[in-house]
Amino acid sequence: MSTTLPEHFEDFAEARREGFLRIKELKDSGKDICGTFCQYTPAEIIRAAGLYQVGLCGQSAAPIKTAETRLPANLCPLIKSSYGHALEESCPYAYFSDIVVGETTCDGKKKMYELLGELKPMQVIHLPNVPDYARSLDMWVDEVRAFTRGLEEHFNITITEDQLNEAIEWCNKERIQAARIYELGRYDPPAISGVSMNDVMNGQQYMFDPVEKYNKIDEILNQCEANWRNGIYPYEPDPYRPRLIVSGGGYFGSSEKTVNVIEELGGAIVCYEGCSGISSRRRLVDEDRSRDPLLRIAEKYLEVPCAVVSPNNRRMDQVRDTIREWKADGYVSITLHSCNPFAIETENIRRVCKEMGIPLLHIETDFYPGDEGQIRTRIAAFLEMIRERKMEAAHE
Amino acid sequence: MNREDLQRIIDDCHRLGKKTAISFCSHVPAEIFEAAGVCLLRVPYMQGVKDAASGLLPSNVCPAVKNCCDACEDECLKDADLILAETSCDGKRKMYELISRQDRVYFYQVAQGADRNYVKPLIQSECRCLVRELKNRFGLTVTEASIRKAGVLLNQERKSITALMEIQRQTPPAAWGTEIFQAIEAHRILPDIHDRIAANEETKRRLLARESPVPKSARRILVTGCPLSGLFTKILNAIEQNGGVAVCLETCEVMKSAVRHFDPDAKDVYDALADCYQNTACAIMAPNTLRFQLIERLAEEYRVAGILDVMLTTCHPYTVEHDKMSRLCKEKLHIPYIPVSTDTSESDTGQLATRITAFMEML
Repeated sequence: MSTTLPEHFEDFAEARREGFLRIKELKDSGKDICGTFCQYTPAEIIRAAGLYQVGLCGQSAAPIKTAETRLPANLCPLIKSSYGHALEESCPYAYFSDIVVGETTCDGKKKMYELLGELKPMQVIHLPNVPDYARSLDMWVDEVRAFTRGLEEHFNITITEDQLNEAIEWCNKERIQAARIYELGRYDPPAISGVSMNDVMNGQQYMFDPVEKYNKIDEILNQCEANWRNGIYPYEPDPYRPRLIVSGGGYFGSSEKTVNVIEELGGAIVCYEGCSGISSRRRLVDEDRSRDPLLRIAEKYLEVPCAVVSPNNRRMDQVRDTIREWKADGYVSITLHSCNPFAIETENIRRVCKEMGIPLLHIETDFYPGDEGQIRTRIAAFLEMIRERKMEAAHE
Repeated sequence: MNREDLQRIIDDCHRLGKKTAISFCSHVPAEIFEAAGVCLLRVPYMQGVKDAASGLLPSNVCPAVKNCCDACEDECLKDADLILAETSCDGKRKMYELISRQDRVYFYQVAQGADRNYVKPLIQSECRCLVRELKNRFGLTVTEASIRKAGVLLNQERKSITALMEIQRQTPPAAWGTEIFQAIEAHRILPDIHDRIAANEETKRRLLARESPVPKSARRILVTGCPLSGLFTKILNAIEQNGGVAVCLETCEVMKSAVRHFDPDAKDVYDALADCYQNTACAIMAPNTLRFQLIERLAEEYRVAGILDVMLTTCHPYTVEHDKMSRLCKEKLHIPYIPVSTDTSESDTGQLATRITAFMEML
C-alpha cells in the first residue's frame, strides 16, 4: 500500500458524518435544503433554485425496524431505511430537508413516497418507463416542468433561464470531473482504488460547498495521476490482479461487506456502472443556450440507463463498452434484497458478460451483517477463479 | 386454465385467419385490438406450464410474474403473434426483457398515476403507437370509427361483468363468489367478444334462476388487492367455507377493469381511450386515489361487513399500499380489515383458513 494517499480521501470517507454539523449550519444561516434519492433527480434545477442538495438514501439497518411498522418486511432495505429515518427523525439530512424530491424509479420507492409525503413536503417526479425519445420525451418534459414549477411555488421563487443555464454548465463540469474519477481506473495498475472511488462518490453527496468540493476532488485526481506517473499505486502491481466492474443500485449501505471486501481480498474495482457509476456521467446536458434549458435537461436525463426503463438496451451497450474500455476481467452486480429492477436486469447483464467472455458474480444483500461471511467466501472464490484464468491466459 | 386449452384457442384463432396478441394486464387498451380484428387473449394464471422462471428470475419475485414468464416460454404460446409487455409493475416489466423471441414482444408504456398532466397525453400517444405497430407488424388498419365501435362492445362486456357482480348485492347474495369468479375467469379468454358477453349474461341468468345457496348469516366480504387468478380457489374457499361469502371482487379481473367506461360519443377517440384507461384503480398508480374511492363506493353498495386485502409475495405496489388501505378501512370506513400475504402455493391453506375463520367470528 502506498503511504502517500491524497490527503482529502479522508474528508470524503468522513463526509457523511461531518456533514451532520454542516447541514445544521446551513439551516441556521437560512439556507433551504433539498433532499434527493437518485441520480435521476435533475440537479440543475435544484441548483438553479438556489437549494442545497443532499442525498437521503438510507444506508443503515438501524431504522428498518421502525419502518416495518408501516412498510412490508419483504422490501428493499434502502427504501425501509430511508423511510424509517424520516419516521423516527433519526437522519439529520431528512430532518433538515425543506423539501424532498422522489422519482418513481421503482414500485417500492414510488409507493413509499406516498407515505413519506405524509411526513415531509414532497415533490414526486414520474419517470418514463420506455426510454424512447419519440414515445417518452413529451411526458418527461412535462414532469421536469412540473417539478420546476413545484419548487417555484414551494419556495415562492422564480427560476430564470440564466440560472438554469449557469446550473447546466456547472453540473456538466461536475459530471466531467466525476467521469474522470472512474477514468483513473483505466490505468494498469489503476491510479485509484475502488474503495476510494466509492468513498468520494458517496461522500460528495454530503459536501455542500460546490466550489470547495470541486477543488478538493480536483486535487485528489491530480495527486492520483501524479502518483501513478511516479510509480506510486494504490495496490502493489500484480499482473494477475482481477480488474472488476461493480454495478447495481443503492449498494452504498452494503459497501463494507462488498466493495471493501473485494479489494481487501486482492481484487481491483476499476469502475462502477449503474446507479452512481459512470452511467450518467458521460452524457452531458446540451449547452446550446438558444434552446429551452428545461428541454435540454429532460433530453439528458431520459438517457439515464436506469433499470426503471424497459427495454434497457442503452444500459447493455454501456455495460459492453465499460467492460471493453476498462479492460475488465469480471463483473460484480450488487443488488439489494427485494430490488426487482436491478436483480432481474442482472440476468440480462449476465448475458452481455457471457458474450464478452467474462464471469459475473451476483451478490444480493441488505444492510444487516448476517451474510458477511458468506459474501466474503463467494467473493474469494470469484477472485480466485479470475486470477487462475489470467494466469492460464498468460502462460498460453 | 391449462396449457392445452390455451394452445387450442390460439390455433382456432389462427385457423380463422386472425392474429393473436397475448396480454397479462388490464391496462392494455383492448379497444385497439378489437378494432384491428386481432384476438387479444387475456391470459389467466396458467396451470401445467413448464418452469422457466427459476432459471431466469431471482427467487424473490411475485408468483404471478413467474407464471407469466413460464407461460411466455412455454410451448403453449409458441404460435402467439404478439406478446404485450405492458410496463405496469417492475417485476413484470423487467421479466419481459428476458423472455425469448424479443421480436414478438412489444412494450406498451403504462402511465404511473392518474392525477398528473402528462397522463392523458401519454395514454393517447401510446395508443397511437400501438395502432401504428399493428399496421407495421400485421398490415392491419385501425380507424377511429372502428375504435369507437369496439369501445361500444367493450362497454357491453364491462357491463356484463358488473351486472354479474351485482347479483351479490341482494341478501343473501345470489351466489358464491367462487362461482362468479370462476365464470369470469373462464370467459375472459374467449377470443370473440360477443361470446364473452353472452357467457357472462348466461351465467347471471343461470345463477339467478335458482335459489341462492348462500345462507343469510354469511358474512359479506369484499375482496381487494392483487390479481386473484392464481389463488382464487384458495382465498375464496377460505372465506366461503368458513362462514363468509365474497360479495364483491375489487381485483383487476373483475371490478377494477369493469368499472371503466369508454365514451363512444367523445369528440376524439384517443381522448376517450385515455379517459377510460386512466381510470384504473391499480396500485402502480401513485397515488392510487381511485382505488380508495372505489372501495368506499363498493363497500356501501354491497353492504360489506369485512374487507380482505390479498397481497402476493414481493408485489411492492400492493404490499406498500397496504398501510394506506388499512387506515382507510379502520379510520374512515370503520370496516374490519384483514390483510393476507400469500402466494400461489397450497402451503398456507390451513393457516389461512384459521386466520380467516377468526376474522369471520369477529364480524
